[in-house]
Amino acid sequence: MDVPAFGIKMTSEVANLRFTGDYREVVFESAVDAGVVALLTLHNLPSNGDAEPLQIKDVSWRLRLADHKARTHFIADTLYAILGLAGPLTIAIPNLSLELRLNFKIRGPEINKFLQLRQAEFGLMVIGKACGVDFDIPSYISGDEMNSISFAYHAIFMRQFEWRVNEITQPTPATEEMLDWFDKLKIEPNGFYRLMFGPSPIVRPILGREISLGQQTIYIDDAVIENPEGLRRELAQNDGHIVPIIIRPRSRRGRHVFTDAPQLPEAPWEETIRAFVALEDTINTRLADRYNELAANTVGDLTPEEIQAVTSRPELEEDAHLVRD
Amino acid sequence: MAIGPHSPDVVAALDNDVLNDWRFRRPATITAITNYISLIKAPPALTSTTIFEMVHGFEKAAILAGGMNERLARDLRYAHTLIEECAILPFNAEAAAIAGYVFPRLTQKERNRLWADVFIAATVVAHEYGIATRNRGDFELIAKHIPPDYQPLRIEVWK
Repeated sequence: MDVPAFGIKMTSEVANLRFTGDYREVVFESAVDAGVVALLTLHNLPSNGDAEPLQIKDVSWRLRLADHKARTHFIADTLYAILGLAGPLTIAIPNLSLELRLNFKIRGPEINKFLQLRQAEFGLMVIGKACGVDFDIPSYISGDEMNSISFAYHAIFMRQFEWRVNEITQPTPATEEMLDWFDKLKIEPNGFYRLMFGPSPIVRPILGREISLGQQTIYIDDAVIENPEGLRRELAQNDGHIVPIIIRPRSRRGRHVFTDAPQLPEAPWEETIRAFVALEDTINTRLADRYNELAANTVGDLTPEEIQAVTSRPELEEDAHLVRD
Repeated sequence: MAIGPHSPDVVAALDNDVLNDWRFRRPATITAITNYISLIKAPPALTSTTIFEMVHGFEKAAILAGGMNERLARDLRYAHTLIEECAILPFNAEAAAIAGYVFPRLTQKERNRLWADVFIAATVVAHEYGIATRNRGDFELIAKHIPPDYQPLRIEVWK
């Protein structure tokens, strides 16, 4: 397979050949990687003999996966996305003097889906490699699960990053010491509290596995404490009962710092994965070019007057809203 | 090279001005959108109000030209393809409630000028997206009035 847009030339043996009696359908099977078999299917006009060349009506290409490991899916989803972004490519079977010039039409949202799965699968490969876990990819990954994969990937790969914090509940015993701590909290010039939580050990469930990410500290620069007067009254009771202190960052974000998260080994990936990772820049360029061209086509060849009208915003008259201020 | 999953808090929708800059290939906007696509692996989202504005532009042009000529019709088809390819954030009940909270807190002049932006801002907040805009000031004005139990409007200036 020759994919000029990506500078890819892949060669592999035809491991299996299947066909119907009248050659309406001919399927070539070829291993592109351990666990990933490409199936090239030719849909032909019926043929009755060896002397008659195949009259190909249609060609399809798909991958059959031997397992559901993150690595296997990463390779498969990368290949599907590449075929969607590649434009013209060639698949040749020299022994049969067969050379097919193809251009696969895959809808943009489908290509995006393959690429977003590739991101998640790479995240799982990083987490798996750092934590010594081999993840199986389920048929569906929920939004929460995707969020956990992304969070753990950031903890391992970035160590320090901004992430969503909607609310933190700090169970606090009503003691003199805690009352003193509470009274000493200062409101910063920006009108909020600056608070730190942790370090504390963090374990995230990911695809049915408990993944330990080490010690996490969260820094919040714009904290709002709910009902501070009521909390102070409760803490002042000094009877040891637990007072839940609810803290919300105004921005709904906090800086997460991981000092001892699991680490990737020095050279985590073998050659094939390195080659697939290295496609990232070309993938990004081809994907962006595709959308940039589509956006530009929405104003192609218009006159200045048409451009003026096409880009104008709907306007209301001055007295459109009669509600008084 | 960071090719793994992104943070959920980086997704953004385009306001009308940035969408137009994108359509006219303004270099700074192309750079911002290319960076976004590299991270998210999809184009920025559009709100239903932004789609209303885009389609309104074509229909207005057609009326002024005495009918939908071939060029306008072709570009409108491309616009519909773009709409199909982008994530669409609908103006749903939550967005409507947010807009309903913001709208009466603006002056009449602001309402007349910013009504579409109020709908856009309310939509992105309802869907937990940010807004990519050229007009930080307009969206900051709206952001001041977002109901306090929602996350603040995340404003990204792409120009």
